[in-house]
Amino acid sequence: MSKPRLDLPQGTLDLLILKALSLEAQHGWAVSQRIHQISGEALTIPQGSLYPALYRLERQGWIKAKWGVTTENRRARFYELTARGRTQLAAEQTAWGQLVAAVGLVLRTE
Amino acid sequence: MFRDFLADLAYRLRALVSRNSAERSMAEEMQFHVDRAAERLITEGMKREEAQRAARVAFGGVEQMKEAARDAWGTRSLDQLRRDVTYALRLTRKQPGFSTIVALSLALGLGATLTVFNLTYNVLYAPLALPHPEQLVVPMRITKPGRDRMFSWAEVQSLRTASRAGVFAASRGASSVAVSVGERREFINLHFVDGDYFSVVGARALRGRVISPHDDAASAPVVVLSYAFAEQLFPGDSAVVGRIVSIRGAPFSVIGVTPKSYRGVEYPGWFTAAIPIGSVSLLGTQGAGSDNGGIPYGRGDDRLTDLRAFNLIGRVTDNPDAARSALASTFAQCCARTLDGEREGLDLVDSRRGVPGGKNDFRNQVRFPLAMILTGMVLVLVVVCCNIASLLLVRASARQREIAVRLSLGASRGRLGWQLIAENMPAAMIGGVGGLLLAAWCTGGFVRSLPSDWGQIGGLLNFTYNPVLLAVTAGLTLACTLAFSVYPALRATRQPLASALRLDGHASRSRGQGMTARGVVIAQIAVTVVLVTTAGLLSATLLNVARVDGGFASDQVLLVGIGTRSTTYERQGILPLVEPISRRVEQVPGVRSATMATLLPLYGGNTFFIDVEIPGYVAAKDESPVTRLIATRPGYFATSGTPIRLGRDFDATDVGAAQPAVIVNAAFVRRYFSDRDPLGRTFRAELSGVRGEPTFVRVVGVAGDVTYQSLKERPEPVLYISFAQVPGHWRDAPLLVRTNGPPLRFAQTVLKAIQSAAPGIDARRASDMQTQRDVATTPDRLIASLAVFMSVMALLLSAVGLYGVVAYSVSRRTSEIGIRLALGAGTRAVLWLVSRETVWLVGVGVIIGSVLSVGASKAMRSQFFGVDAHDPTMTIGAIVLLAAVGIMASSLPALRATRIDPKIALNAD
Repeated sequence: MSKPRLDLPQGTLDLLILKALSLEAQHGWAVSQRIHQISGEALTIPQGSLYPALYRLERQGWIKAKWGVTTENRRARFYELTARGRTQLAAEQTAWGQLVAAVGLVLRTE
Repeated sequence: MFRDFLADLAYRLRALVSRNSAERSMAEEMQFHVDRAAERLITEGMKREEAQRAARVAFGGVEQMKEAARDAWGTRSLDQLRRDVTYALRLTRKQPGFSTIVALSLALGLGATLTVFNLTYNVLYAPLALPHPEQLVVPMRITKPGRDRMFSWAEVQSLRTASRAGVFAASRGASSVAVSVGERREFINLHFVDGDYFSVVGARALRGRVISPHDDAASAPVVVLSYAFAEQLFPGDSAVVGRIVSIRGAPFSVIGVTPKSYRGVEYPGWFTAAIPIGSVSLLGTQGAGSDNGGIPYGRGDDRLTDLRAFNLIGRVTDNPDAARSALASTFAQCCARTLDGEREGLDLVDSRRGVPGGKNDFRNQVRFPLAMILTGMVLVLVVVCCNIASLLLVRASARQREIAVRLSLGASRGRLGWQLIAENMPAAMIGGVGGLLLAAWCTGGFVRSLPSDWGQIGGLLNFTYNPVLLAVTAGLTLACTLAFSVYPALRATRQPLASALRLDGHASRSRGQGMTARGVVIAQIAVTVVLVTTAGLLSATLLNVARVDGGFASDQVLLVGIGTRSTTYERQGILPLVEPISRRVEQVPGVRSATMATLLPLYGGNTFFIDVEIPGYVAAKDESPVTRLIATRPGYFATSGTPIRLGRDFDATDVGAAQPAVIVNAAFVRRYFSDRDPLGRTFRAELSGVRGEPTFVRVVGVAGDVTYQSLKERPEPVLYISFAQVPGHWRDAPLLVRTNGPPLRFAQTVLKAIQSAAPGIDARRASDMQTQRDVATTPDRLIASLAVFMSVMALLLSAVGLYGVVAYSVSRRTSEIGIRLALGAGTRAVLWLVSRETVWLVGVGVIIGSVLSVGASKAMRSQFFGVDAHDPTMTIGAIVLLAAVGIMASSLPALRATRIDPKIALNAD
């Protein structure tokens, strides 16, 4: 059980979840694992906020959930991006890119 | 945007409806997550049980997460509302006593407030029951002395054709017009309307039709009756249309009946019947010299004269300002005259609430008293809320541990606070509905208690469940609920958990909470002092008014109105009938004496004011000396009980063309003769209206002052003259009869005697002086009784509030008192310990209240009569009363405190 090395900036959790779901439908556990791995174990989803975030995204209509079966033949709830979710992801990615660029610009300036 | 909202709502509702399966699904999902995490740990070499525990710990509080997830679902607020309501209903059922108190006191407070609100709304603010009343306007002529709405027919025509901004219609009225069906004869106010009138006003017929332009053009003998008048003329007969009624002897056929709700556009609006203006000529003409009082058929058709006899009413559908200026400029061109250097103008007056400023428009007189009473009622409501709030504070402290436990188990403060507020909703709603029903009941009783003279106003006041009233009821109920529950809820959830959970947390928390409850009680007491003081001053006013002598006899006096309009005597007037009627009535057994005059105190008649020129009297600037003129006959003063202080009564020598003898009242002497003996003095009086020319008159007597309109009025100069010396045309004169025994018992025989002296004359409205006095004091009585009612309620509520606070503090300090008793404190010391609180609560309350009372009675000075607004007696009385109430309210808990058994008290917690 590794401790988070980086704190997740406010509002980025939704973006990460949407991104993690953009390739294929996944259940909650896999979402958290995927983000953990892809980030080189630098990011850990605070477990308490994962499910509320998923439900919130579902309510907003960006992802939808259905029960399915995992590769180990276990029943799990799978989330997938909706069309509106994809649009949202694209928009948030652009915004994030701009934000990072802008913050970097400020920080590089001596 | 809206689609998103709908989708969101649908999601929430789905989640709410399928809440159980969603919760199960959530639990399963979370379990799945924890299982995966545990498996991962096992693969990393951890033992199974250890791994499962570690995974659960890492996952965090499942319940908190579920709460957060429910938040995310958005079902929480809906879901909680449902649960709160269920909980509140369960609590209400569980504590019927408490809920009953809340509902009952709220119902009382709201009932009283809504009763007054309903009266106020109906009298002052309710729009006419016509389509789009806000479009109704009345053109008024602006002249130097004021506004009036009379126009000549030529002016009416010019204004009507010129005004493109709206449609206008003309009408006029006439009083005491005889309308008969068979033997039944009624004297009514008749309307004469042009063909557009009903369509402009927007009134339709309930049965038949209303008057059309065709009726007017054809001078058709048709009449439209009001619902009430049709009922009166044809009792129990609904097939009225097509029947024939006789108006001043001419047959008119009924073409329609207006709905019950139609009162006409005047305020307060007692529409009775209308005929086309064009049909005026059918009514016949009246004797010459009869233009006093505006009888339309006096000289035939006034559309042919320049007499200003017509009213206009208009409907402006858009832009009233444009209509106003268009009409004003038309008026300036066609009609405006210059009088005393001032040019006349024209204004459009908003008439959505009935044409203002009419003879019977009493709104300005009642506006202030109603506002005052409404304020008082709202204060009572505030006291009610204070009381419930302090009850809730006490109850919340009893539930402190429950609340503390729930807070420490993770319930959020907002959640718990909202629930504490929601708990009161069922009782509050019952209180609101109860208040509405109570108001309906009170209004019914109030309308029935009005003097019969006010019958027509009663119709105006009737209780209706209109949307405004319902909205105000709902708003007030909600406002009260919030007012009495928000603070206790905030307080209850702000407990320091540790002390609240401690079993003996009394000492640490009783102070802050007690302070609030005490503040509430102090506010109650202050408000009560204001209400009691005001009620005292108003009651003293009523007593003073009722005690006013008035300058006339009030016992065994019968009064009857006698008129000649629309009778065979119309041409000759009442004058030739004065002696025959008076003499004939005096022959009725049991009648001591009878007399007639043009005006009788508190009963009415003709109001005349004439100019006088008194030698030696220097008039103030802008003052022209005037006096009220009353014509009467010899013996009047003895019969009416008005003393002749100097000189003599009229006698048989005061007749004909000789210099008229006059009797003046004391106020006349004070003002115009500087209180010097006026007997034998002569002066010029403007008697041309009744005698043909100004005449010198000679003072033969001085009579005592009499109040004519109201018992509160200050006596004004009055000039009495004998009928025998003013041969003018008087249309009516009331009869005053002194009887041996209850006056109304003689009413029928007196009315019969009048008919035998003058068959077919219009004699009605038999009343006695005591009734007239009651009618005259009715407004004072109403206001005083309402004020007393309010202050009694406030007193009771304060007593309950005081009792609550003292009882609460005794219960809180049980162990302290026990210790004191155990250490040897005497009964007296304990009594003082407890009563000290009452003393300072009442003390602070009455000090604040007294200061407020000074302001309140100053603001209400105009409502007082014979009492000094600064008179401290009432305030002192109020203070004494409150002190007594305070002692009574606190004695019970105080005595209970002395009986505390130290052993039990110390073991209590």
